[in-house]
Amino acid sequence: MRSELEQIELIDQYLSGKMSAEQVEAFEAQMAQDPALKSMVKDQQLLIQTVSRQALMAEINAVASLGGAATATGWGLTQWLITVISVATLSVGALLIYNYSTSEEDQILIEESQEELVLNEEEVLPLIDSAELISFQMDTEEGDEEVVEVNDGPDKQDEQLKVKLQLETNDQNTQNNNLLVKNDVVVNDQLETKQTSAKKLIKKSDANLKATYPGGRLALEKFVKKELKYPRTPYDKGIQGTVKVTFIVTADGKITELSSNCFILKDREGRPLSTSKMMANKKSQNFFEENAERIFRISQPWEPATDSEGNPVLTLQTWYVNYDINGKSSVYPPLEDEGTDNPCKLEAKDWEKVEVRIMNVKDLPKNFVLKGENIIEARSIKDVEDLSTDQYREICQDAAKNHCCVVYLDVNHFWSKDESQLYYNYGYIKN
Amino acid sequence: MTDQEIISAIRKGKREKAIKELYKEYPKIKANILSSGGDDEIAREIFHDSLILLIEKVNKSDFELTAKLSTFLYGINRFLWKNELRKRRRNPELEWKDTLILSADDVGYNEEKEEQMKVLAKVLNQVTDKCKKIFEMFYFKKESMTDIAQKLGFTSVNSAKTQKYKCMERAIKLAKESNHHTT
Repeated sequence: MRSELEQIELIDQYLSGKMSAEQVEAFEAQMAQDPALKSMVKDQQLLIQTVSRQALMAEINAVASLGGAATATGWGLTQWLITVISVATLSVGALLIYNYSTSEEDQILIEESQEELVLNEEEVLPLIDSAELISFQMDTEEGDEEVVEVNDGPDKQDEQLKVKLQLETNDQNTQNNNLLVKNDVVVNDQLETKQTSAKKLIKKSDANLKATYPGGRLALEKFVKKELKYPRTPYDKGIQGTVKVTFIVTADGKITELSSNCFILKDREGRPLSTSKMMANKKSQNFFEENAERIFRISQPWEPATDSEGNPVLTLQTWYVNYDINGKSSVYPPLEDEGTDNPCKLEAKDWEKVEVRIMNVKDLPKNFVLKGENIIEARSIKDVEDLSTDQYREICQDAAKNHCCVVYLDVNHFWSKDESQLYYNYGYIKN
Repeated sequence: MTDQEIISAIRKGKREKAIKELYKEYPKIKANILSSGGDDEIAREIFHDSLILLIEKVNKSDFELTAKLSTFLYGINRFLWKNELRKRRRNPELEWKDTLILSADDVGYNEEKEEQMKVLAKVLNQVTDKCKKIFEMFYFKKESMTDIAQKLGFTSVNSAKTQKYKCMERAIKLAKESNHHTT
């Protein structure tokens, strides 16, 4: 690692022009000999440029919003540059959040299972209870714009309360697969007894994990009607889709850690695309993904969920954005029965379970064993501090050979001064 | 501000002032884009992208101003808008007054590179906040590792450097992975 560290420093010096003429010459000669070094330099240079662009774009946007030179709506395609302020997710499909350092009983959780690109050709178009839907008319305009605007619908303020209630009772089972245990490993396999113990844990930790859009579901509906735009590329190709968006609502209502980790693309008739077609339409998928995330990104702060004592807590929220080419696009939370209705859900049989574990670094055993029915993994961790996240992932990949496991480490805390707070979690998927 | 003042402000890192000044050109550019089929959103997007390209260009040591800065800025916008129209499979004649006809090379635009940077932008979403902070402070704000270590509460400069290394390693690895997925 030492030498790699030096190499990165050397590349930094080279790229920033801090080398002397002789050093540059020597370095370039070395690059000519060493393609790996050359590609490293290129990667690093591009990354630095991207970092600078993002920072620059933030400055430009700051000026733009100050000067009133631009309206607040629509970041469009530059979105990828602008919206990088949110926090890290360690893996595209997985995030780990926590609220720690409270009493033993407090379990605050969150692990979002990794569901990347679930392609299931046989998957039936989801049947969604219309009451659960936010549907609206879409005006297709002339098709000249990158996005197709959506018309506003009539207000229905009087129904607001009702809808809000409905919203709140819904979807407690988002984290069915995910639970969190502090200082303790819970082996939660498919046996019923163990499942009950898992449910107990969720109850105990206060399962009120529902944050709401201010004004409730109807207000959200209004907002979505106004802001959701059908991306032009898939629109032209007659592609429909559903995106699962997850995000954290912090205790003060901010939306962060947005990620969309599940997609289904459908043709005009609503039939899921085949795997190869999915691949061919990656761009459409990206458009949907960015577009869906944007809705929540530009949303005003939400009302955070509250724990049993009424204190606002940070929660993971999941919503689906369904793009309907006939103007019935909608946003809806996970349904009660996720197993069949959820278009993005993995088939239950594909999942063994997902588990989260939090541990105090001091308690980390020298040899830690990932326990579980199908998990075979034992590996010595001599020095936790020397272990990079990537190494954790490698451990996981090793284990994957014997039925996958996923280990994620919250690097923020790993690297924090207070090393007593090391969090890691693992989940495993059958095959 | 004169062109030279704008340029030296950018080079000294006083970008805000320079951006404000350059923003004065926006209404005219926007009007041009709107008149050839664009909307507010795309106009703004293209203008912001053009500012980035301009600032990158100005920051290069070999940058030489051969025309008025505003003319150059128009040229970049014209190029980007034309490029966008091409993507939309439309190719109207663009009649922009007082502008330069610039090539991709002139404006420092490379389609392949832009694509790669999109991937990297996503990657940067996946590294930790701390990593992003370090990157930004070190590479964009050009702060020293000593300052960074202090501001971010590292116990030593070396541990900050080690973290920077880990961040870089991780980011590049993630980029490789996502390239692998998309190709």
